[in-house]
Formats: sequence, C-alpha cells, structure tokens
Amino acid sequence: MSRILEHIGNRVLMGIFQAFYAAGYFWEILVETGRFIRRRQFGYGYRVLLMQILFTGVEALGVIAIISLALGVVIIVQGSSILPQFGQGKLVYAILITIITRELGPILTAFIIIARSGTAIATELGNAIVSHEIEAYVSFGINPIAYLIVPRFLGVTISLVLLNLYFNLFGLLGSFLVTQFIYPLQMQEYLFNLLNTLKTQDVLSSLVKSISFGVIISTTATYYGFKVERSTTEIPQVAIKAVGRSFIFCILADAVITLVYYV
Amino acid sequence: MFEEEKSITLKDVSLFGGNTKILDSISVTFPLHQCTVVMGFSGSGRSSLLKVAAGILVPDEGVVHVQGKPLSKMSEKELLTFRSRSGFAFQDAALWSNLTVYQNLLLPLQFHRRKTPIEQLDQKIRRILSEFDFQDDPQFRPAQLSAGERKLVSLLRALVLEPSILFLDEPTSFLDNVTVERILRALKTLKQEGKTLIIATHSPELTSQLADRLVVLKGGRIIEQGLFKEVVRSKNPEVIEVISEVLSEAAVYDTDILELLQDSSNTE
Amino acid sequence: MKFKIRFASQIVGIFVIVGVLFLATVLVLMGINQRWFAKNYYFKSRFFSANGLSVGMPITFKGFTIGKITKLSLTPENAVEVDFYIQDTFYPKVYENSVLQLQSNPLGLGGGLVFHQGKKPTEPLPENSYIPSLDTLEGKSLVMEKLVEIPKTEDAVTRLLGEIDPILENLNKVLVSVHTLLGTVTTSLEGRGSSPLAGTLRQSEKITEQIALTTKSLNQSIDQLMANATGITTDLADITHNLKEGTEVLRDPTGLVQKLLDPKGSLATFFDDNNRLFDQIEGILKQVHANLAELQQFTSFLNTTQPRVLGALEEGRQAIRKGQDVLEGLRNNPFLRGGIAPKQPIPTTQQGYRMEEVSP
Repeated sequence: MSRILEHIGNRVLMGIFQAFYAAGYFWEILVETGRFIRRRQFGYGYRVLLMQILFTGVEALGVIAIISLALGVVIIVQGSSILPQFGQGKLVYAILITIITRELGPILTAFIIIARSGTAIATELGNAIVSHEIEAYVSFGINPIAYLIVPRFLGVTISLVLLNLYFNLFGLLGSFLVTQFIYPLQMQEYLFNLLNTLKTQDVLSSLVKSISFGVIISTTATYYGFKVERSTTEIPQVAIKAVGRSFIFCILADAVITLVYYV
Repeated sequence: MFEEEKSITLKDVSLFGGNTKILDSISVTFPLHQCTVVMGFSGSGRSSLLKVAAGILVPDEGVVHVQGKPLSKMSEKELLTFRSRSGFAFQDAALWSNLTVYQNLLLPLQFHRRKTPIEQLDQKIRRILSEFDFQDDPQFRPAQLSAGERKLVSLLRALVLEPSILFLDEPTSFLDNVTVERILRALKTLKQEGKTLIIATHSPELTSQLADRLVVLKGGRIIEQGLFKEVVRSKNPEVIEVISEVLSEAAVYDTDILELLQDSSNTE
Repeated sequence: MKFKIRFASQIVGIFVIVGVLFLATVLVLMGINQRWFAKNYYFKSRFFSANGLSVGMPITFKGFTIGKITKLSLTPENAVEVDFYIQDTFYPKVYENSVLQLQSNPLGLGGGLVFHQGKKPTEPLPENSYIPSLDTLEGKSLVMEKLVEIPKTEDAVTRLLGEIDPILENLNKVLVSVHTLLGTVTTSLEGRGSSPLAGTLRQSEKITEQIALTTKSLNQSIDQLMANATGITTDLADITHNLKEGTEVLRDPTGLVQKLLDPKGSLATFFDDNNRLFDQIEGILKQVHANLAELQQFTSFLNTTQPRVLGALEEGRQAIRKGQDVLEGLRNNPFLRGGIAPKQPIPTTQQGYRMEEVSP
C-alpha cells in the first residue's frame, strides 16, 4: 500500500517537476525570441528562420490550397442548394466563415503542420543531440535555444499564421471561383455578403488561434526533440510523442480560445 | 599544487546518467599552458570529464573553476569569452550535419567575429583547410565525408577560432598515419605556442610526445593524476593496469612508454 | 543547389507578402464595408421599457439601417435611457422634431426601432441631443402637433389581410348593383312598371347606359374579384337565373306586343304616324336586344370565370396556410437563436392620449 502511495507521489512530483521544466523551457524560448527580434543576430539564425518558413510554410502551401479549396467548394455548393429551402440562403456566408475562418482554417493548418514539421523538428533535434551537434553549439557558446529553437519557433508560428491566411484565401475566394463552373453566383453579391458577415472578432480569433497553435507546435516539437538523451531509438518515440501532444494541446487551445471569444 | 588562477580545476565533480554515476566526485586540475592527457578504458568517463571541464556538460555535483572563477557563476559575457578562447574537438566529430564543411567552419567565426568582414573569414577558412591538406570539396556535407575526414574537420573547427585552451576527445582515432602525423605536428606547434591542451586519447604517440601531465580514470573516478613521468612510474597496480591495457589497445606501441613502464616495474 | 534553396529568400518573401497583403486587403474592405472609419453621430432617447430593445439593435428609416443602439440604461426615474448613433451618411436626415418608434407586428417578425423624420426640413440636430421616442410625452405631443408624421405600419401579411377587405366590399357593391339593375330590367320588361311605354323605353335607354357603366366597372374590378369569397357563387347563380327570366320575357313577341298595345288600346295610332313610332321602337328594341346579348355574354363570362375565381381564392387560402406553416417553421427554427422575442403591443397614440387623459 505504502509503495503504491509512494509511486503515486513520485509520479505527481515528476509531473509537477516536468510542468515547471516545460514552463521554464517555454520562458527561455520567449526571452530568446525577444532578443532575436530586438537585436540583429548574426546571419545564421535568420538563415534557419528563412529555411524553416520555406519548409513549413511554402512547402505545405499545396496541401493547404487543395484542402481549403475543396472544403470551400463543398460548403458553397451544399449551402447554396440546401439553405435557400429554409429561406436561410444567407447562412452560407456565416457557415463559410465559421468553418473556414474560425474553426477549420487554424486547426487544419495546425494538423498539417504537426504532421509535416512537428515530426521533422523533433527528429532533427533528436538526431542533433545523439550526434552531439547540440554540444558542439554549446562548445562555441552558441545558445541552442537562440539559434536552433527560436528560428523554428518563429518560423513555425509565422508559417502557420500565413498558411491560415492562405487557407482563407483559397477557401473563401478560390472556392468561389471554382464554384462558378458548377453553381454560378454573383461575384459582387458574394464578396459583399462575405465581408459583411466577417467580423473583426472572427479575424482576430483566427489569428490568435493560428499564433497559439504555432507556439504550441513549435514548443512541443522542440521540447520533445530535446528530450532525446543518447540513443537513436529514442528519436521515433519522441517524434510520436511530439505529434500526439501537439494534437491534444492544439485541440484544447482551440476549445479554450473559442470559449473565450464566443461565450 | 597549481594556482587556481592558472588552471582549470574540478572540485568534487559528479555526473549522473540516469542512475549510474558517470563521474564520481572527481577533483582534478588542468594547468594552463600545459598538455594534460586523460587516460582510461572506454567508458571510464573520459569524454564526460572533458565536456564538464569545457563547460559543455553541467555537473550534477561539484564545481568547475576556470582560472579561479566557477563556471556556474560566470556572467554570460564571461562565459562567451571563455567559449571563444576554447575549442572542443568531439570524439564523433559532431559536425553540424545540415551545414557544409565550409559552413561548419564559418559558423563559429561568424558568431564570434561579427565585425570581421566575410572576405577575411573566408581567407582564414581556406588557409586552415590547405594547412591540414583537406582534400575534399568544402561544399560537401559531413555525411559525404569519410569518418577520418570528419574528425579532421571537427579538429579544424575547434582550431578555427585560434583558442588558447583546446579540448581534444580522441583526436587521432580513425585517421590515417599521414594525417595523424600532420595533427601531431600541429599540436606540437600549439604546445610550443603555450596553448593549453587537454586530450583524451589512448594513442601512445600523442601521449608520449605531448603529455606534460597524465590523468588516469577508471570507472568514473580518478585513480592517479600528476606529472607524466611520475604517473607512469606509479606503483599503484590499478594505474599500471590501465596504462598498459589502454596502450595495448592501441595498434601502435610506443617504445618510450613501454620503456618507462618497464622502468617503473624495475624500480619496484 | 536546388532552385528552392537558392531562391529561398525570394520565395519566402513572396509567400509572406502575398499573405500579409491578403490580410490587409480583407481588413480594409471589412473596414469600408462595416464603416470602421466613418464618423457616427451619437444621440439619446428615452423609452418606457427596455423590452424589445437591445444593444446593437438597428435603427431604420424607410427600411434603411441608419444607426444602432449602443447602450441601454435605467435612470433613477425608472425610464430607459437609450444611447444610439446615426451614421454620417444619414446624419443630415436628423431634422428637428424627429422621433423614434419601437414597432412590432402581430406575427413577431420584422418590426424594430424606426426613425421618423421631422416634417420640416432643418439643419441636422447637434450631436448628443435628445430625440424623443413615441413612449414619451414629448414624442406624442410632436405627433399631435403634426410636426412629425407616423405612417401606418405595415408588414406583408397585414397588408394582405387589409387588401382583401376592400375587394370583398367592392365585389358586394358590384353584385348589389347588378342585382338591382336586373330587377329593374325584369320589372319593366314584364310591364309591371307604373310608367307608360315611352317612359319604359326611356328607362330602357337609361338601363342600357347603366348596363354599359356597370359592365365597365365590372370589367375594372374583375381583377380584384379574383381574390374573393365563396358566397359570390350563390349570388351569381341568382343573377343568372334572373337574367334568364328577363331574357325569356323579352323574347316572347306576343306578350310584348300585347303589353305594348294594351295601355293605349289603339292600333290605328301605330299606323298613322308613318311607321315612325314603330321604327323608333324597333330601333330601341334592337338596341336593348344588343345590350342584353352583351349582358348575356358577360354573364356567361362570369359563369366561366367563376371556377377561376374559386381557384384563385383556393390558391390564396393555400398560400396563407403555407405562410402560416413557414411562420411556424421560422418560430421553431433552430437557426433563429432564442426564437422571436415576444413583442410588446404598442398602444396607438390616440389610445395613449385617451389613457393619459383618464389617468390623472
């Protein structure tokens, strides 16, 4: 009995310790990010940031475009054929904005980024630890958080925000153009109604969501990447953990932000 | 004993890896401007000792003093100065795999010599590459190099900042004899220039030709440390065992050391 | 080096700029569309109760949204103070003596806060001034002094219901006049009229005119007739019956001749005036005949249109029933969050005045 209690106690203590550790890690990232932005670092950090946006943002653009286009077309076609039957034809705009701008835009881009870059980042960092590359940075006084994590943190967050914007661009406008072939709508009417339905709140919550998802994904992926200690077998394990945790945290954050904004 | 101001000193340093003690309350002094060779079986904690001394690993217990100042209490600026004055060549090269050989050498220079124009840095890299006769394309990635070349680049990277303290973890393993010769010559020059060398190796050549002092490790503990000549004459059977075993592990025997060992056993 | 890596900066630059431009464009368009940058003019008003009022509720003028409620508060005197704004484009319409009215309608749809412009065009009221509502004495007195006009409130259904009544009335009138006309025709033709033949003939001339008039008015109102009630059918049957009777009597030559000759009793007079009277009578009779034929045609037209009228009425009824269904559907519609708020019936100004006259 006492052993069970001890076990539970240890687990709880470990959990608390880990939470504090993760919080400290996050704080460190924020501090270094502040420095990264404030003072002009030498070129290497910017190069990493650039590459991160290239890999996370630009390369995911195709997937995002296809998904958002298809989604937008489905909503417009379904909405404009079913909704007018209830005399709620205008609801299609509200549905478009709810689904594309407010909900699926941020969360789907986040999921795609988790699958693409979350694993990549965790694996890359895990490998760097196993091959002592991190120690090599330290030996030169190059802070791995400042030069490895911050560019990834910023890169993923910026990419996510931008991809979310592109998701909206394709989902709201691209899908409209595609729909023209199937179910013609008036361009002016469509844009006018869309812009009237779109509220600052929607735009803001969408941006807040994608920023927080970017923060969550990059922090989680790098955190678990750094959890590798010495063997390569740990790398796939941390990658899976990074993905799983990122999903959970993103969905929780999504719920919280939605509640904060719309309740 | 050496003055603390003129040495890197470890006091009661312990390092844990999970539940095992990698380093067990080690107290050791690496005097500046001298060459110290750390010896021991594989897995005796040599690499860890070097990393702790270089401030790469933070010990779980104990303190590391660099010229009298504890590493843990150094300001960021002081720490950065220490880093720029020290170079570390890793046992497994630890080159940055997503950078080219050239970029691997450029990055520390860019970081520490931000105001130097890029042309000068470029010249420096080219000079050091030709000095050590690096044959391959510097635009190659580490994965495209052989193990020996990687070790060479790792050493070059440690040297590129012209540090006054060098930590070398097995600098000559995997390398062909020509390259070893070249490195040995370079290290001798560095020693003559008064640089501090701390080398973990089981190469009898390096040991006999460079070592001023010897530290013998076994199972994460120091069993002997002191002047090279004194240590090799140690009567401690453990020390004799380590020295002879480590040296016999090496492919090339160095007569000097063997003689010395024989000497020590004769005097017994 | 790969194209992507070599031109990484350019690619990323385009990627970032397009994204940011899109966001900026959307924000600017939203701003223009939702008037972020336009000036609003703020005013105050008072209402008896906050029932049916809410923050953000639009204020309309002739169906245009011209402003919104920004704040509702309860004063120490338990009046409801309403802060609202009028958009800059509509600000010049805020004349003196303008009032606000909270409209509702029996079906619980539409309605809203309506702005009524003062009758006399003036400079717009200064900002933060007080615009009374019809709940207040000031508002009511403005209406009484005819400084502001409150148009009749209508919604689609009320209008529909309102339009049916006059049509029914119209139809009744027409039917009554047709009925009396036919009665007169019948009696005169039967010879039961007190007037002599000439009078009868004169009368029949008048009748012809009247028939023509009625036909015209009937033609005019036939469109409206389409919308009406089942009771007409029996009336129409009556009319038809009467017409038939009249026509038969008219067609019987012996009866007619007898009746024509009997009052004077002298056939000689008939032949003495060189057939003049006869010709005249014949002409009149021909005309009557023609008119009657026309009337018959019209009657048969009415007969044929009867099912159509019925059909139209049935359709109308069905439409109203469907409308009810739709309204019920709307009430139960999950999309209309919170359903339709029960509307406070607003007493008309006259009632209000009477009540106020009584209350003190």
